[in-house]
Amino acid sequence: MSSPESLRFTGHRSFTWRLVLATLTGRPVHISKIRSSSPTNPGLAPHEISFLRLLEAVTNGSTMQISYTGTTVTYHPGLITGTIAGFGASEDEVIEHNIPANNTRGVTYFLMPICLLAPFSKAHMNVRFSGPGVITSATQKGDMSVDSFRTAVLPLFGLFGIPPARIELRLLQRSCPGKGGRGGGGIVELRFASQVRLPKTLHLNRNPGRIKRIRGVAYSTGVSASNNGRMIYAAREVLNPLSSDIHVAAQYDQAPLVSNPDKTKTRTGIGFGLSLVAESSSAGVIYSADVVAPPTGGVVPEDIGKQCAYQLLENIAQGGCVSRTSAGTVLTLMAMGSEDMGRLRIGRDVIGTEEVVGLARDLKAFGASSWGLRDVDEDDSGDIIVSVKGAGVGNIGRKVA
Amino acid sequence: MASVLGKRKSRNTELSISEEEAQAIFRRHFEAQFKPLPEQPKSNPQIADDDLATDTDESDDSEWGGISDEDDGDGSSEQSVEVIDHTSSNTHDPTVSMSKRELKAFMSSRPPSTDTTPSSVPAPAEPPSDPEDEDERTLRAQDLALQRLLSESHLLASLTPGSVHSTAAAHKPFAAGRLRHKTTDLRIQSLAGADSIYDQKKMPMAMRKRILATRQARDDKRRREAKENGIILEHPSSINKNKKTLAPARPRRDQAVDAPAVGRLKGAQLRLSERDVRAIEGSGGRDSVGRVGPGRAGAGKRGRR
Repeated sequence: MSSPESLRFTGHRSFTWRLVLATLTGRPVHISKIRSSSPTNPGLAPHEISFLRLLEAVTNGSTMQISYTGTTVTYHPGLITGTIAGFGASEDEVIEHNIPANNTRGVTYFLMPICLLAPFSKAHMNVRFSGPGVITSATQKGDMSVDSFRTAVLPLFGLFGIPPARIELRLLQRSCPGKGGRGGGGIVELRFASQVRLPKTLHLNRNPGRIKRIRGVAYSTGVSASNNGRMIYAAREVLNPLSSDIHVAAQYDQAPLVSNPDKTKTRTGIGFGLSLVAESSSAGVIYSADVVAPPTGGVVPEDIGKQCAYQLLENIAQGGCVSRTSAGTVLTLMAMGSEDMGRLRIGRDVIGTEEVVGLARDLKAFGASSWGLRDVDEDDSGDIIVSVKGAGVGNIGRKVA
Repeated sequence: MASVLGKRKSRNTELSISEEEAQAIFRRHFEAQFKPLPEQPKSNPQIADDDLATDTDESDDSEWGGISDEDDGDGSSEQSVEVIDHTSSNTHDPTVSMSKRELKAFMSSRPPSTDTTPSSVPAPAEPPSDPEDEDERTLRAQDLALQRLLSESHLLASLTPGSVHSTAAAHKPFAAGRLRHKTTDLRIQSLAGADSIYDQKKMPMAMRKRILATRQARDDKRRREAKENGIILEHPSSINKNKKTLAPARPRRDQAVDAPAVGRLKGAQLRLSERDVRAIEGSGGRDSVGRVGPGRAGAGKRGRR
C-alpha cells in the first residue's frame, strides 16, 4: 500500500481539526513548529498529547511520531474502528480514556473531534473520559461546557441523518477547572451508536427564524447551591423581556474527589457556571452561550448569569443558522457528506472568525472542494450562504462490511 | 340572651314595649282569628333594641340587600383588587422553572429532542409516493403491491365481463362487493393462515372432492396457460398451503412426553437398537460407517418435542 504524500502544516492552531480531517480523508499529516518559539513550554501541550492517545485508541493502524522536543508530529491515520471488544475496550464495551492532571482544556475539546469521527467509525464509539484532568464545565480557554455540547451541538447531527436519539452523553461526575485552571476530576461517558454510511446533504439556507425558547443549565460544583439561583435570576432579568419560554435547570454537585500521586485525596474542580441554549422557530437552528467562574474566583454569580445572557444575545445577533461554536462541526460534516452541494446560511461575523477561515484552508489542503460564498439577498441581514460540496468520503469501515 | 334579658326588662316596664313585641302580639291575635300570615324576614334582635336602627334596617332588608352590604362594607374596605405584575422578573421563582418531566428529559444523557425537528424535517425530505424513486422502501412497497395484484388477479379476471374466465357471477348485481369480500378473505388467509370463511365445512365427501379437484384443475390450467403466454403469476405455495391439497413434507409423529431420549421403553425395559448403540458410542469419534457420531445421532434420533 503506497502511502500518499503527507500534508505539511505548521503551528499548534486547530490541531484537532487537522488530525480529524487527516483521519477522515486518510491523508498523513506532518505538523511542525508547534510552539517552537515558546521558551518555556515548547512542543505539544498535555491535552494535545492526550488527544493523540485517544486517536490511537479509537483507530486501528494509525501511527504517530513526535519529535524529541515535541515541536513536530507526523501522523499516519488508520481505520476508525470505534469500540471493538478486545481492542482496548473494557468489559462494558467502553474505551477508558484517562486525561492527565495538568490538562487545562475542557472535555469538549476531546468530545468535539471524537463526535466528528464517530459517525464514520466501524463499530459504536463508546468512550469514557476519566482521570484527574476531566473538566466538564466551560473553560476560560473557550471550550464549551458538556451541557451546551449535549443540548446545542449533538442535536445538529440529526440534520445529517445521524439520529441523535442513539447518541448518549452521560455526565457521571461534574467538575469545574481546578487550581490554576488545571485538572478537574469529572467523568463523562460518550456512547455514539449512530454510524452512517454517508451523511446527508444539508440545506440550511432558510431564514433562521425567531427565538422560540431558551433553555439552560446552571451548575455549581462544590460551592453553595444558591449560586445557581442567583445566576438564573440574573440571566432571567436580561432575558425575560425578550422571551416568554425560559427554563433553566439548576444542578448542584459535590466536588469530585481526586487522588493525588502521594496517596492523599483532595477535592478539586470547584466552581460554578451557566450554559444557555436558545432554540429558534426554524428547525435545527440553535444558539448557545457558556460562561464559567474563573478558577481564581472573585466573581459573583450575578455577573456570570448576566454575562452569559448577554453572550447568548450576542450569538443570536450574529445571525445565521449556526453559531460560532458549532460552525466547525457542521461545516466539516458537510464537507464529508455525499457528493452534492449543501448550503448553509451563516452569519458574517461567524464565518469571519479565525477558526472558520482556518478550517476552510485546511479542508482545501486536504483535497476538499472550495466553498462558494454569496450574500443573502432575501433580506438585509447581511448573512452569507456557504455552498459546500461533499467529498463523498463516507464510512470506509461500512463500505467494506 | 341579651335580647331575652331585654325582653324581660321591657316586660317589667310596660311603657317601653318594643315595636317588635307589639307586632308579635298583634300577629298572634290575628292568626288566632284568621289564617296564619306568611313568614316575614326577622330583623336582628340585637339591633331591635335600638328603635331608630330597627326602622332603617328593616326597610333596607326588605327592599334591596345591596345597601346593607355597602353599609357594613366599612369593615371590609381594605379588600382591594390584587395586581399581578408580569413584566418584572421578581415574580418568577428561579428554582421551580421546569416541570419535573421536562426537567428529566432535558437533563437526561440524551440530546434533547426538539419537538419541531421530527414533525417538520421529514415532511419535505420524504415525498411519500414517488414511483420513480428507486429507494429501498419504495421498491419494497412496489413489490408488495405487485404480489397482491398477482395473487388477486384471478378474482378480477372472473369478474371482468369480456374475459375468458368470466363467470355468470360477474353479471349479477353487487358483484363488486363480493369481489371486495373475497379479496379481504384472501388477504386474511395469507396473513393469519386461517381457513377461508367461504369454505363450507360440512358437505358430502364426493362433492368436496369434486370441488377441490375442479379448483385444482382450474388453477393448473390457469398456470399452464400463463406459462405458455409468459405471464408471471403469484407464488403457488401460498395457495396450496391453504387448500391443504398437498400433504405436509414430513408427517410429525406424536411422541409420549415420558419417552426416553435413547432407545425404546417397553414394559419396564429399555431396549437399545444397534443404531442407538452406534449413536451413543460414536459420540466421541467416528462410527463404523465413517460419519461423525453426534451429527448422525442427532439425525437418526427422533426429536423430542
